[in-house]
Amino acid sequence: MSLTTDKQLIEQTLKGDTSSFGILVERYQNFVFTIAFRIMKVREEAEEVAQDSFIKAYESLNSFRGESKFSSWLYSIAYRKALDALRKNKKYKASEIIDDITEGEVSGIEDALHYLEDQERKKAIQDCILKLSEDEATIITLYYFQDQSVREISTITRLSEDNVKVKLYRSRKKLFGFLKHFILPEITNTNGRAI
Amino acid sequence: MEEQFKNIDRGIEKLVKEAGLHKPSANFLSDVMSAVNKTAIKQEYKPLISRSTWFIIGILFATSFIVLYFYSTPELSILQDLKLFEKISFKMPVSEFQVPKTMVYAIGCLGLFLFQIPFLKNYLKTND
Repeated sequence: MSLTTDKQLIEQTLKGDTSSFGILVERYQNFVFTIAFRIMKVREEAEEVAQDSFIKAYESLNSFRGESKFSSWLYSIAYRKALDALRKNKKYKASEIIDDITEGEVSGIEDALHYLEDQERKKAIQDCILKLSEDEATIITLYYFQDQSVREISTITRLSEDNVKVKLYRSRKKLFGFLKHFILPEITNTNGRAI
Repeated sequence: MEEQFKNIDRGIEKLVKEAGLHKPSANFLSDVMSAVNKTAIKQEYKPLISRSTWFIIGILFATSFIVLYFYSTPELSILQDLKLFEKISFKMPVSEFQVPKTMVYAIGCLGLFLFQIPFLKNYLKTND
């Protein structure tokens, strides 16, 4: 059953078989929830947004033309739903300015992470991703976790490709900055750099 | 510079992949599916009586209307032809009350229509 393609499941759903849509939900629920959570930063709100995104996808399945991947289409719904919910809650995060990072610092952060317990390390990285602004967290997740191209991210977020590239560059720097601050506070404290 | 950028890129990729995905609550799927089932895709409206059946009904109605209008005489009656009243003889308490035969047929048809309603409702419920 897991070998069934998204296209086949969509066709079955459109014929009235809601259980096929259930397979799609199961397939993408973690990713849609992750996008929603990294934008909303609150589990309960993210879960509501993720649920609304799937319902919206189900209702508009007729309009899905298959020009893009189903996953990209679904992520764009989740992204917009989450931004709408944020706008309603007026909880936009102010963007933080991060200083430049060097290659030495990158390996230093990786080494320091190595000494943390698996779960602790995972939690630290997740927390640092959550500190990014909504677009940055989404772009970083789509680009590095889902291996989406800049073009696909541009379609999902409705940002220009150049804008996506700029945001990707900035969010990379920011993420390392947060990790540096979290894991190696002595570096930032001794050299006096503020994050 | 290029090499440094690649290293940072690889480093971030490793970290983001390690962070993995967040998981929604255990009942997320069932919550979504119950909401989806409630808002099931509106199926294309399929009338109970098809277009062709309506056409036949229309022709029958028009024919009977014309026949009744042009050829009805006080003597013309299906009930009379069947000699039903000769076979069944009973004294009606309101026998003095005169009702045109056309109206009797109309009331009969209406009764038949109303009689069908519970069956149609049941049919729609089972096919929902």
